[in-house]
Amino acid sequence: MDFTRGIIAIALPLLAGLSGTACRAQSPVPGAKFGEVVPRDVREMYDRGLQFLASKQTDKGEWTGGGYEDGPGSVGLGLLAFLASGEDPNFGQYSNHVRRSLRSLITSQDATTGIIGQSMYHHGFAMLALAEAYGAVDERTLWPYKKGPRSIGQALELAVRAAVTAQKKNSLGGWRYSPDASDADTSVSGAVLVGLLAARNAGIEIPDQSIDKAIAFYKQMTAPSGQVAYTGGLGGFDESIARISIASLVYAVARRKDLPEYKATVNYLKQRLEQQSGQQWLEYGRYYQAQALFQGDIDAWDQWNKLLVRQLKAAQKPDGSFQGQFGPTLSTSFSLLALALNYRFLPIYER
Amino acid sequence: MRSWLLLVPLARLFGPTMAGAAPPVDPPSAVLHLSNGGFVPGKLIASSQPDLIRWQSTAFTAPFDMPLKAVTAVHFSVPAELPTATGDYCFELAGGDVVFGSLLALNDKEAELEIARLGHLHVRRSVINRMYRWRSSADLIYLGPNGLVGWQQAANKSGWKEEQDQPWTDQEGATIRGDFQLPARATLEFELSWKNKPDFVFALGVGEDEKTVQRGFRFEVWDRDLIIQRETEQEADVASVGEIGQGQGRIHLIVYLDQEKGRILVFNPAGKQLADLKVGGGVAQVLGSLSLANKRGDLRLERLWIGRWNGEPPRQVEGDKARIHRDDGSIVYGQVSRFDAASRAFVISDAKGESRIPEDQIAGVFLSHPGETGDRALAAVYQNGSRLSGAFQQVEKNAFTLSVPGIKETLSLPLDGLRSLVVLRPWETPAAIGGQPGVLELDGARLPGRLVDGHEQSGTSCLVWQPQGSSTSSPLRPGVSGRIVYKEAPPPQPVQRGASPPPQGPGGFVVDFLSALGGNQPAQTGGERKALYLRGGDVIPSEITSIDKNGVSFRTALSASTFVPHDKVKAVELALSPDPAIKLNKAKRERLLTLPRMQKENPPTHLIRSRSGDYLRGRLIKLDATKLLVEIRLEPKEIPRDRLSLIVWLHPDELGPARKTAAPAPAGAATRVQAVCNDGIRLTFLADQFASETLSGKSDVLGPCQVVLKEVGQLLIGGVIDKAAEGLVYQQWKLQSATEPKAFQADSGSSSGSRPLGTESALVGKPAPDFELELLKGPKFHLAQTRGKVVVLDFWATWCGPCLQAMPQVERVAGEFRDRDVQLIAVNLQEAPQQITSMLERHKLHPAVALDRDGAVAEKYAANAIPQTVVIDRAGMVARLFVGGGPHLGDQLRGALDAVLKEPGAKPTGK
Repeated sequence: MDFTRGIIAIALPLLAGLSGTACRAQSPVPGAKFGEVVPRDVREMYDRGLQFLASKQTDKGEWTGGGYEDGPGSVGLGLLAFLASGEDPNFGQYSNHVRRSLRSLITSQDATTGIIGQSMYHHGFAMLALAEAYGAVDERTLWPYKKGPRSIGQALELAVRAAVTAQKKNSLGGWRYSPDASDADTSVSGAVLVGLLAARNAGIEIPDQSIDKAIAFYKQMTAPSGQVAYTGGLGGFDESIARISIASLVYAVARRKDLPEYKATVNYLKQRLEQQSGQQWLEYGRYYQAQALFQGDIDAWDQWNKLLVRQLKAAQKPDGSFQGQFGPTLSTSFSLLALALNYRFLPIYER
Repeated sequence: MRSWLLLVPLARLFGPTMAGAAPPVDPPSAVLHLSNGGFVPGKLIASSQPDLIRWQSTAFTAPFDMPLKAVTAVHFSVPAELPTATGDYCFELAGGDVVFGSLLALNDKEAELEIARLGHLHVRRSVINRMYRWRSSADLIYLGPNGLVGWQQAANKSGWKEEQDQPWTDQEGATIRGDFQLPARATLEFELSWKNKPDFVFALGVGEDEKTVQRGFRFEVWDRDLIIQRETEQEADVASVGEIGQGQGRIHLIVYLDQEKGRILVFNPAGKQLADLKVGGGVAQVLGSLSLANKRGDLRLERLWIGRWNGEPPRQVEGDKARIHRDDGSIVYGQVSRFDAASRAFVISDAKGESRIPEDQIAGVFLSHPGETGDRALAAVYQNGSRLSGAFQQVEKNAFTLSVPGIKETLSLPLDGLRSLVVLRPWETPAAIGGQPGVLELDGARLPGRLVDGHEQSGTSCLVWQPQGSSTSSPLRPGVSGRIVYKEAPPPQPVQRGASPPPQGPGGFVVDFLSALGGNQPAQTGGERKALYLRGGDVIPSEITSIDKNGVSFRTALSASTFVPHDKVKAVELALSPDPAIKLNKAKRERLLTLPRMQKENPPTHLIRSRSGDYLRGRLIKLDATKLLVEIRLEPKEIPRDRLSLIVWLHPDELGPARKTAAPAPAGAATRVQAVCNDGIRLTFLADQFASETLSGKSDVLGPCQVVLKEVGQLLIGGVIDKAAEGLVYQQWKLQSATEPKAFQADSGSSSGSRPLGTESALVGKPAPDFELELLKGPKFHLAQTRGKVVVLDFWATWCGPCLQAMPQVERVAGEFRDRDVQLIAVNLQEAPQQITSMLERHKLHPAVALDRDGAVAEKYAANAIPQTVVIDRAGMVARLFVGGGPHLGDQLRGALDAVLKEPGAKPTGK
């Protein structure tokens, strides 16, 4: 498909940017040169959302919603929303916001363990943001006053090592809130595994064994119907669009589309395009559903995306925010990232 | 011509007096009844004109001046408990008047009476009929009739009406029943009248069901006879009461009924016994109700008095002579010549001379039959049974004046305590109305009349109503809801659906709806004209030109306006399909309007009907001259326009159990009306002027509009528009959410389908692992020291969202049990005190927090998924263990604590 090639075309420079220099081409209308113009209303919605996030970012590059979700995970997701917009991360209007958040992620990393944040959710999303920024953000301008504790690449490598170490302690081969936990769930594991896969895509070495173990965990948790369980010990299979999307996404990004479990999850999602996570963690569910459908079936995503745009248009507040269960800033980040598939700038969106 | 019988028990029937009523405040709320059948609540206000009722209703800004003859009655609200009072005598005067008071003097010309609240009255002797010694009101049960108050119409019939306060009917089969709580021995006096030969059943001593009516004591018309009969399972008997002639007539009877003995005695007012019937049978049952059924002709209940009877049969009276009844039951015949006030004795003169009967020996005095009744335009009836009639003079703030024939003084009667003002000579045929006559119906009011010219002003509506008969008119108050009916039924030839009259109640529109959805509705509409249906109820004949994301473009002959936004539209007809091949039955319709769970996030917004009657749900994207673009479950489809007949909008806000009414009535500026035209067009607009029989205003869809009144069948005003719209056919097409499966209702989709009741964990039933932890606010918590108490451990961390959702529930429920030795410890997993403190402050939580810094306690309790809530009983055993929180954790925990506290084995075990 035309635009698939297009995606690769813009993704390659990003991957090539491992040298640490920014070399992304600016395009005034994202996607225009590939024949798929991002609709104006999506761009306007995204811009208003970014303006909201920018306005709420603290000097330290963080967002404080006053909830338990505050921390590096939220910072990472906000950073991803800026990176996914197509604005130049080094010279664009949000370049300072990008640098601030990146500095926050790096400084909040435990120098010894490599863990970022209070739980592995935070660690996973922070790792994903570092991976996506790695190579795109010019490190020479990242620390204007003093030298940072470590570079983006170093921070990412350290974070990867921490995640792999936590996984090794885990009998199930996944992750749970605590890096020392002995059990695992498919939700926390998704955050960490996608971060690891993004790091691998960015050129960081990840042991194959680690990915294989994590994928094995997901296979174990995926029912033939496509439904995905939460943890091994609790409940059974039930319908969680978020978890099905996470599983589908990790299979795809791990390049395991050959698995029957992958096909089952994609089919499940394709047959229920109108179905979202409902009242429970809606924004979180959409964030993964967007990526899973995009990876799984671009036509299905296209249909689903129309519904998403319609729903988000109706939901966006005058200040550009989206209200949700996670408070306005994190809900806005998740909502924008669900929309960001329309731009396809982030390497993790590569098909 | 009335004739009278004084009987001792009857004398006791008279009610309490006017004395002792509360001091007057505001005039009581009341309803004005008009001779044209109209009625309107409001209050009587002062006027100095005789024979005029000035009436102020809250729905109008100005009063109406009603000539007395246009009025039938004013009924005032009556307290549940009627007032009781005292008086020496009850005086029965000409014209049916009754007053209570004391006798000051009596001679052959006049009497002087002292009446509570009226004072010293000089009453011509010729208008005094009889007077009874008034001892007690205890024997009075009912004094009436009070219109239909106390009566109930038989189911599904409403054939009885009130006329001058009297129940009246000319409907065959019309039946009323009233529970008057007849005692075992009762006396009743009643008058029934008719214009044509009657056929009725008046049953005494009946109950709720028809069987008891069959077994009651029944007055019936058998051919030319009035009979009394009773038939029980064992016995039956019948007795003739008298003959009933052709044409107009009346009966006036006094009945003594002993239900325990199964006996009834019937007397005429002159004291002659007409019948004595005894029918026992089975167990004697005392039933308290009366039933009055009109079988043919007409019937009016003019009087009904009910009292207790001591069981002593009354003595027969010789003819209808002037006489005195003594307390001992003996009767002294002869004309009373005077009352000797000094000796308190009545003086009777006859051929043999004078004899005296002391006042304290008499029960009642019959003086004469009033020869003339005089000019009586109006009767004032009080709650206590007093009644005075005469010429209506004027109304003051709390009283009105009445000239009563035979009473020298002009009476100033208080409004307080009034039950009714009854006009005795209303118009037979009310005056012509002029203009476009209609009936204004408001909440609790119905006023035939007409609109007169008016324009909208601050505080007054442009709708100015002149009731028939009134010499004045008044604007409606802004915000009033109601309608003006010009034509009750839709015109005979069928037009648009919208032409059907607004529903009266659920029954009305349900029927409308079912027939509309039954598939044959298009046939009823006749297919003459396609229309645009708005949510407000408007029906605008239109040709739809296109539909886009903003709304509907149309052409109509009614106005130059061509566009309406989506949120106002309910349906558009694109083609009229007189007889679609596919019928829609009830089950199909329900299926069509059920929203499956998986579509909840993307409900269809439109329902599209093909010409053949097929339906399709989806999201309309665009309609142009040739095709419809519609998204069916995210899949775009194109449909040729010529296949379509109808599109109905399914607005998201209609989804769900209850919908608040649509647009609120705008305040002040204009009166919102909906003209329901004779041709089926419905048009909602803000009216600002009525002139030349034309109502003008502005529609927010069509712009300026004018409606000529003679084309209007009904004019809906204010809030009633929305209610009427609710009942219109297309408004009934609303999606209903499919029922949620139980698993989802109980637990809104978190981790597990079936919520464990807390006993599944392997730890339950085992001794709770002991531990000692530092408390956030110091010093330490040692589980073993709490033996004898119930302990709730809530494992949590600040990064755990579900924990923070669960914790307020846990804290609240544990608080409910604080007095019963229940202690809550929130065990935090491996976090710094500062972080914990700031989180608790943000969430305004105050549990005792134990710091599990290394996670060792969580490990002992296998808290590898949090929130985890553990209940430890008094014996130190793990009684319940809940994992995962959820919205029902509070209830589950409460149930668990209740159960644990009740467990007998959970008593303190020492140590």
